[in-house]
Amino acid sequence: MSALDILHAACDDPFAAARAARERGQRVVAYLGTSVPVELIRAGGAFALQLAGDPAVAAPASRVAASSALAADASTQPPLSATYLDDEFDGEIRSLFDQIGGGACNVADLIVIPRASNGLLYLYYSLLELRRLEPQRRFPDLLLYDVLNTPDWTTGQYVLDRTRALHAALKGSLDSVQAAITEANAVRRELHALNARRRAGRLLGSTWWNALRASRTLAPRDWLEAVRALPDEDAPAKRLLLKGYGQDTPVLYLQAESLGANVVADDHIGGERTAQALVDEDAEPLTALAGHYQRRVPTIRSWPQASEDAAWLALLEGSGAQGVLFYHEEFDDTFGWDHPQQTALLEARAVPHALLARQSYHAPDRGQQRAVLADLIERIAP
Amino acid sequence: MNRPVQARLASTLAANAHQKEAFQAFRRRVLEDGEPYVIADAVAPAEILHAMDIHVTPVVWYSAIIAAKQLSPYYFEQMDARGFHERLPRYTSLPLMSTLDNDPERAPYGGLPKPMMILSRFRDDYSQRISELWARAYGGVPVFGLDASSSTTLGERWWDRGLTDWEAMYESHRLDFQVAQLEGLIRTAETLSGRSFDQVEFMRQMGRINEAGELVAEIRDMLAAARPLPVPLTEQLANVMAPTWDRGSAWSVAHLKAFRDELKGLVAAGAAACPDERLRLLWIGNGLWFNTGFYRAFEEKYGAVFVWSMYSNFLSDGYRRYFRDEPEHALRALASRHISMNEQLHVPPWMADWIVEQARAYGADGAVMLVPTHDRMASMGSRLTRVALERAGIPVVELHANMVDARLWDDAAMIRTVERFIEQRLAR
Repeated sequence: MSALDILHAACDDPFAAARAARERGQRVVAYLGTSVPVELIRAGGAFALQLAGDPAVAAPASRVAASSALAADASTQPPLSATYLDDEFDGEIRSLFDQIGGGACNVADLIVIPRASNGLLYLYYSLLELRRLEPQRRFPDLLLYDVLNTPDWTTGQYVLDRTRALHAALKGSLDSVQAAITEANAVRRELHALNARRRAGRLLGSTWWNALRASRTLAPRDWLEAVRALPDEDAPAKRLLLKGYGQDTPVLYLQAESLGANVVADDHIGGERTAQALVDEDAEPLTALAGHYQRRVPTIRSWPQASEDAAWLALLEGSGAQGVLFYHEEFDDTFGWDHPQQTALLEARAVPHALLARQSYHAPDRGQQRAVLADLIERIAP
Repeated sequence: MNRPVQARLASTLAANAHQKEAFQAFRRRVLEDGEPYVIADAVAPAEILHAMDIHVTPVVWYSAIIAAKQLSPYYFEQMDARGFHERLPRYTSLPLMSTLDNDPERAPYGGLPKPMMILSRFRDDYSQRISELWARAYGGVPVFGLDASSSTTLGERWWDRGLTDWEAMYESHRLDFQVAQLEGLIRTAETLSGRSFDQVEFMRQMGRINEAGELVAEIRDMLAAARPLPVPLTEQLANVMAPTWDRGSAWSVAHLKAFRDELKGLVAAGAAACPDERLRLLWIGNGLWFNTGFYRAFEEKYGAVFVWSMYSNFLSDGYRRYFRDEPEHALRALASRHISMNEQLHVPPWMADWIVEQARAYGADGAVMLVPTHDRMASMGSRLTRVALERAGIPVVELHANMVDARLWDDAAMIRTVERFIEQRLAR
């Protein structure tokens, strides 16, 4: 298989490497989002697997489906999420609820859920409640990592306490934590190198997306070997920054490429800024990890807004992106507060921008997305 | 023979007058005397500021006032015009819109003047954003952010155990963190206001909150047992919410005693919110602040009475915390009060179990559930709670609407929905 094939395979079947690890007798610990210290999972000897939403899993909920679920006709069972989750849960959370509750993630012995968003927190509680309501269902144990992002001393002390508790639950010596930090930093450095190639027009945004996702489903050694063999690519000349909610598929990247633009930077949830900073290898390891995941891995909850805006504007400038595509989920209750100010910042810099608003997770209007992208790319000077 | 209760209780008139006078007096103190005040989330520890004689304006209280005065359509149009999209949360942003609009002639009670600080608890993903926008709208005021830790487990019967066993119920590591944050809040408030935190007064007020909670428990038991319900839900809300916002004051305790005594008299006299009471309903979720008349819309035709909402006894079940006679223990008790309110009111199993308990206590026949659209923080436990209620034999109908945005409310359609529910699932 080519390096690119390996990455694609790791994205198409994200459980494959974890299954292989389990068959070798290794414990598997899954995690959600980008705020769980994978270093602690690996230090405890487990295989670390990131679970992600999949738009192909679960149909959108409807009130009709929910009420019929109460009548419990086994032959027409709607997805779990339609029965138990309210209509305004994000599609990603619904998909994770269906996957985990439905047993699709049972390769894992444990799932660590970070308090990195309200959606993830409610997912945790909803799964606990699912277990109470349907005790016969089999899915992995759950563990909440209560990481908070307010950048102050008091919160820092709390996150350190929670990080120590997570370390105690996952086990592993401090030496093994230190080694895992070094290994995870090697992955981050390689991602930086890939990003440099993306910025230089030698790597497609869609390849970057696959490499980033695969870094969270493969063992570090296997991933490093694959990405180091990635050949240069010819990327389209126009350059975009993608911002907003996370991308569980590379479709927007591919659409941009087909229209003559490369996504050279991303400031969406789970995007490049989550791998931008290295964990301090010289500090006491648990303190270093706590500080890293509290303050240096951005989430939807990060604030103050001025710091967040400064960070993505630096990314805009550093990447040479010529236009910004904002992407908002169907039930966005958060990024919309930032959007008027952020578009004003772009207009002051004469940077074209566009918004994909109220995007359906399960059934997006690809035609509309393409039209918005085409218009944005058209406005970028050749 | 049951007698229809008079339109407004004396207690209700007193509660409304107290709130209006208190707000106007506070504006005078702020505008004319330059006294400090704080705008705070509903689930934030106003007790700290009350002990320093600093007025606190709860965001959702003012939001409900704006809605009740039918001003929410105007302010939400302003929100649209400023480029904030139509699905952003309404309940906690409506007062911000009144500040951005900057028209004291239009805003209820003349609007909210510039505060000493904004106290925000970051339980969702957006409150820090609203607080920052608001702080800028005032030309720059400090935002004190209280981080929101989360329970690792949601144990059994919080409404019982939480009164005394709160150390275990709310988890020591969370309480340590919240105490540290409260100490930071005290120091910040002292610095900004030039006042000292009075620990004797603080303990006195914490004691009064427990006393108020006991009175509310007594009132709840009376209302739950009475057949028919002596006073409509609207009267309950007015008389319990005002002491909740003004908790810790001598007025709050005195008012609840007066309300209890008035209720006793009404029960003894056979008063009825609806003399032809045939069905008892729960109202689940936030209040319908722009249309509280809806709570009474099904009495005449169906004898269907709303007997309970989450506000009816939350001052009893959610606020009471018994503590040793030591300021540091009182502070730790306060720490345990707000850190899980969202889970108690909006997250199963806590939300669901508590409501099932209330349904049984009140002898409810069914429940009408407001599932807030565009305020999903308050809606995300609704479906699971509905499942729990249905399993407990309590039929539920969902109304998808917003608690303060009257533009999203279709009164005729909502009435039809509830009528169908009554006819198809509750009719006797």
